[in-house]
Amino acid sequence: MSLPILLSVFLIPSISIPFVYLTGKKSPKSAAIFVAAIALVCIGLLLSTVPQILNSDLHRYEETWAWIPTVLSGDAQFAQFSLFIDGISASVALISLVLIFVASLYSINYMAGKKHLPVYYALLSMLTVGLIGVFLTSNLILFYFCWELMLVPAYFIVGEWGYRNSYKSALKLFIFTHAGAVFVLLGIGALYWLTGSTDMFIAQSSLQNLPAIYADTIKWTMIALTAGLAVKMAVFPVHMWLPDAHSEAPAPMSALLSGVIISAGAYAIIRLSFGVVFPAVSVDFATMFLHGLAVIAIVTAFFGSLLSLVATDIKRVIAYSSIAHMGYIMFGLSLFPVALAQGGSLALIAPAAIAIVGTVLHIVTHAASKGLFFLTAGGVMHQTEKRDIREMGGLASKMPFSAVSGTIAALSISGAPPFACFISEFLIFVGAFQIIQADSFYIIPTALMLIATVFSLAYSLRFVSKVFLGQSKEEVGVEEPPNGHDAHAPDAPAAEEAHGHKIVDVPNWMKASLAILVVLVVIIGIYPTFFMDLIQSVTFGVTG
Amino acid sequence: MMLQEFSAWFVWVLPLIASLFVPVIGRYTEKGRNYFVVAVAIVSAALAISLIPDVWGKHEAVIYTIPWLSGFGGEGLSAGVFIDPLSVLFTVLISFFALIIAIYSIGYMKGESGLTRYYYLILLFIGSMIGLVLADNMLQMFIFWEMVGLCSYALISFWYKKPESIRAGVKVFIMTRIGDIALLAAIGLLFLMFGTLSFRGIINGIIAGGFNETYMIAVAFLVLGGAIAKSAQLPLFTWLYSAMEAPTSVSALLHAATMVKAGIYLLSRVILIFSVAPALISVLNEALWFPTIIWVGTLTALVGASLALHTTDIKGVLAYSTVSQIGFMMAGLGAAAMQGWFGSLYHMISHAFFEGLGFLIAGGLIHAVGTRDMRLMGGLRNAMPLSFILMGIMVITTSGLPPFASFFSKGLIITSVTESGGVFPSIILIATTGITFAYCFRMFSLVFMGEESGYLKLQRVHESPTIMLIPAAILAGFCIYWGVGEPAVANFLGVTIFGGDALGIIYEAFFNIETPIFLTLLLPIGIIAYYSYFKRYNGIRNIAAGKNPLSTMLKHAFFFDYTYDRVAKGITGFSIALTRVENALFARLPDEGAAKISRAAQPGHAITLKKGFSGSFRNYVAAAVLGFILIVVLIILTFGIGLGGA
Amino acid sequence: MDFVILSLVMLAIGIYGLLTNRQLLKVFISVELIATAATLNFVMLAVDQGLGQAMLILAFATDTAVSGVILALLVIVSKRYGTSDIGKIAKLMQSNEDDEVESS
Repeated sequence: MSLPILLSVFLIPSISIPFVYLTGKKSPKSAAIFVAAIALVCIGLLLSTVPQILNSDLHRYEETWAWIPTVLSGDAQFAQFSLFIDGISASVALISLVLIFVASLYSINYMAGKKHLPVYYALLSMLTVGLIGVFLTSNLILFYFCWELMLVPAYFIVGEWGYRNSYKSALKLFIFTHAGAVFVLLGIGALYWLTGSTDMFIAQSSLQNLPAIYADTIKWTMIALTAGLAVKMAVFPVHMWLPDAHSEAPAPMSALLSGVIISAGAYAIIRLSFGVVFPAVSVDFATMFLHGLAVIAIVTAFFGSLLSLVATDIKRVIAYSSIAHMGYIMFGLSLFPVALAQGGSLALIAPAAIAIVGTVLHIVTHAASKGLFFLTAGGVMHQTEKRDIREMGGLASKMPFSAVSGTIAALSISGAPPFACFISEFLIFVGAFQIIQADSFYIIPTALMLIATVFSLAYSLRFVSKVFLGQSKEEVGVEEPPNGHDAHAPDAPAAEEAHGHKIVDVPNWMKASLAILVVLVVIIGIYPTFFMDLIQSVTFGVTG
Repeated sequence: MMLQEFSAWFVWVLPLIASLFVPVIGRYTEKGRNYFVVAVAIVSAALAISLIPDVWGKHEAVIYTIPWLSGFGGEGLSAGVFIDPLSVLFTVLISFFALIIAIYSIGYMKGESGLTRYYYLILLFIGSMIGLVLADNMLQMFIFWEMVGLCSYALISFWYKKPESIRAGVKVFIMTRIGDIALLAAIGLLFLMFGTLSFRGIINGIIAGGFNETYMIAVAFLVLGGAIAKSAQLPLFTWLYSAMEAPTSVSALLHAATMVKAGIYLLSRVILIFSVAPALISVLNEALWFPTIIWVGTLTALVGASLALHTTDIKGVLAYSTVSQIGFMMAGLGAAAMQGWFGSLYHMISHAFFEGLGFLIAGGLIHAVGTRDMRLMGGLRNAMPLSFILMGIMVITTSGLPPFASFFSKGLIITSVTESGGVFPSIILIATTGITFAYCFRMFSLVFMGEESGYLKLQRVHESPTIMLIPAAILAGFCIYWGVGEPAVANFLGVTIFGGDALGIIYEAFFNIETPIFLTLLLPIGIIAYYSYFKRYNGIRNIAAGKNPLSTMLKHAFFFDYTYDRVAKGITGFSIALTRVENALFARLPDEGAAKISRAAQPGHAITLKKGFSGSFRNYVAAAVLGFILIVVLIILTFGIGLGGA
Repeated sequence: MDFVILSLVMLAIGIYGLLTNRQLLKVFISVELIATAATLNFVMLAVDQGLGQAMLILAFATDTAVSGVILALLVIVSKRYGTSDIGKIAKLMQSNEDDEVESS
């Protein structure tokens, strides 16, 4: 039995929850550093498994621990603590932990002075547990447990420390994702009923050997699973919770929501729908299903981009942009090689899997870029105490650091090299052309997605121009603009500079977290090989 | 060999890395920062020149690579440099101009704020542009292609407090992005066909044959799309005029000498790659790719020249002149012959010299006079004699009078266009040459000849500082003497025309039938234009002020911008409507619908709370009921179907 | 099969009660009714599964403990606000919060 690396990664944040709370009562700053340190430790532990991932045959690293044994039915595997990590899990888990690290450092300054901070940091630890559980397990019961576990800290953090109508937005988040989770539970239940196992790998192989009468059930299972997971991903039409939740959450939570939690949805679709159920469906259904995903993806991408183009609240612009990017990820998912359905052969499809490499890489790069984007916007909100971008302008001279990080984030989101999201979007598009050869349905979706990138550039540049460039309103002498089309436009905080404060750049801990993300965005953009190696060890070895 | 590899990498890596040092140095010393930039430019230029001897006349490229991206569906993609005469030609041109502009900027941008950002971007741009032309695979080239666009955006919005600059930057970036996605699609198709993105790999793939020809034609047209956007051709040419919001040194470097030529580089590289398989060339010709290029170039040349004739903004004249001249280059490339290819490249170099010179002098003028409007200038030949002479050189060179460089290049282009079968295009091109002369002369007269305008009498106009005139003089020298450089350049590029004697070009050009037509048409058209615009000012003024269609077209720049504006406004309007739909449908409906249900369930007891959340709690319970029913239905479906079959 | 119908009926009663009632205790009873309905349903379906019934005993126990806590909280709340009507309590909570915000 090897060292319990993955178990420690799971247990360390769990055990630390009460300790973080106690530390927080003494000093919130220490609690933040505690959480950050835990994240760092987990990153280190995960990195230590990387060599085995890359070099071993199965390209993954597994650990199994007993959890809930069953005596009567002799089915000893019902709820095992089966933890495993492969290239895809590792990439996504690593970037999520980085974001948690950065968010907790950021919170030192951002949340300073707010109430009940010990609980906040303890909730962050709980979120870490949930995330790691989702990414690191192959047991469906544990997966579901952690999936739902994530909702609790999300609800409370958004509700308690959020902005306008925060509990309402938090409730929306909770209800929508919880409802989605019910569908996931249905899917998991169906899988257990079909295969008698709750382990992803065993279920995958058993599913393929089922007689043909179960084909319909398998189809509906796939639909239910994907639908439930897609609610978390916030694609159209189940995106409704996202704009409110991401805008009203405190900035570090927005970064985590947008960067990590909706990525968990995408990861789960890859792992569950595509990993477990997909090899067992018929090729025809698979094709139809993927085409459906492509259509949803296009609608989502355009919907998000267009709404972001005209949004007036600084965080709403970024929230709609997250919806658009989930559209890109779903487009990448729809490019899954159909040849894998019906247990097809993997060896032939190596170039066709480039789109999947791009998709997973996009999860990583989007997390980093969106995290940077939200944290910068939070910094701007924190310093100027304004939310409406029509009231901002000319901040580049007053907040140069934020201006640089905000511009880098915006350009990365728009897919401009040499920043991170370019390389992942590039891989998705190159992969799309590979799939086009096999299935000419994708010509129009690919063309439309290419056009969507022009829109994403448009809203990114608009953000930069309105917030950082131009002249500040004091210089021009413009009065507060009339209420715009943003229906959730609030009883806005008054635009009069009644505070008389000078606008300076963000405090140091916030600067440090922004800097870390900036460096990450640039490095991944120039040299993504680390993540690409990890991901490709899966796609060119065993998928799923 | 070691030196070649070192130079080829460092000629672009050095500026990229050095750009990161600019903010550091700039914190301590401003002069040091400026000189640092010039020093880097000098080193870069030296490295570029050192590449020349090794590739003289070679047809095969030398490639050096380092591993970069792994996997990628195969052996992975390496980063590399591709050293052949074409790339070295561009490299030398870019680094030379970088040096010129670095020196010029010291004088031109004196006293501006934000110079650290300016120099950082200039170095970043230089590194990216050279990296673009030296890239050995399509991905690397595309990365630098976009980075160059990014630097362009940042530099155009340099004076970021001005709303016009911001708007211009956004417009430029978005318009070029449209071309970028076409190029991205082309790259995707290339990877599909050949499984590799390196130029060497693509060349081998083409030689091996067996690829899908439809895809290849699609690739060709998509590449053309990318080139059109980046090089400001029809229909995506209006951004170049907007880009004039940038400081004039930036306009000279980016939008005259180098960045707009990226499209020409792309096309010439692609044509060079295609030409390894003559069968492919004929396929493309059949698919009307080459004729499309000729027509795009020709029409752009005409449109650009006519707009240059109409505009009153001095930088506008130069911008539209660039559009027009690049149109010539495109036409030359479209001739699908070595002669046209070479003529186009040669014209590119000449154009860099004379247009760059024009911008440098314009910069000095704008500094001295304080306006870009030519109607407010006039009679400056007394106050600014040196600029007067240098601009005169520019005008003569642009118009294509022999024995200056552009005479030969334009002649080559027109000859090759005629020979490739396009009679109409060459007629239009010849006419455009006349218009070129007209607008140049018009600009010259409006600015330097005549009387000093009333506006100028109020200013104290002085000559540009020496540090700004020296680069201009260097360029002027090149303008004059570049004509004799033609055979050398042809040899360098390894171009053989007319059976291998590059010197034959000059003779052919002189004794070709085009030349006398050229000259005889040129002078009358030019003189007519001159008289119309200068002497018989009133006559043309009436027509121009009148409501005839020609003037309307010209005034609105042929309605291209108008259309683009309407499209943009339409999209924004649609998005706003979409926001309203989203709010009504997705935000309020669940709330209110659920509220109605819960209110119906408790008749007479409703107390509506404004902000309370227990009221809405019930709403969500009601929504949960609906959801529950939905779930039951789904369960029945899933298991019912399964069980029904079981 | 009959037990499933029984569970459904209990569920419906519970939901109706949740939606219509305004007294704290009645709302709580409705919630408990729903939980019991679900537990009953699962118990009857898991007749020969040891794990199922074991889990449900666990669920029952947890439920009971939680009920105790909730009842205690309900007593405190109703004493504090002097009323058992959830509409009035929410209003009072809201105005308390507003007072708090204004005075801070």
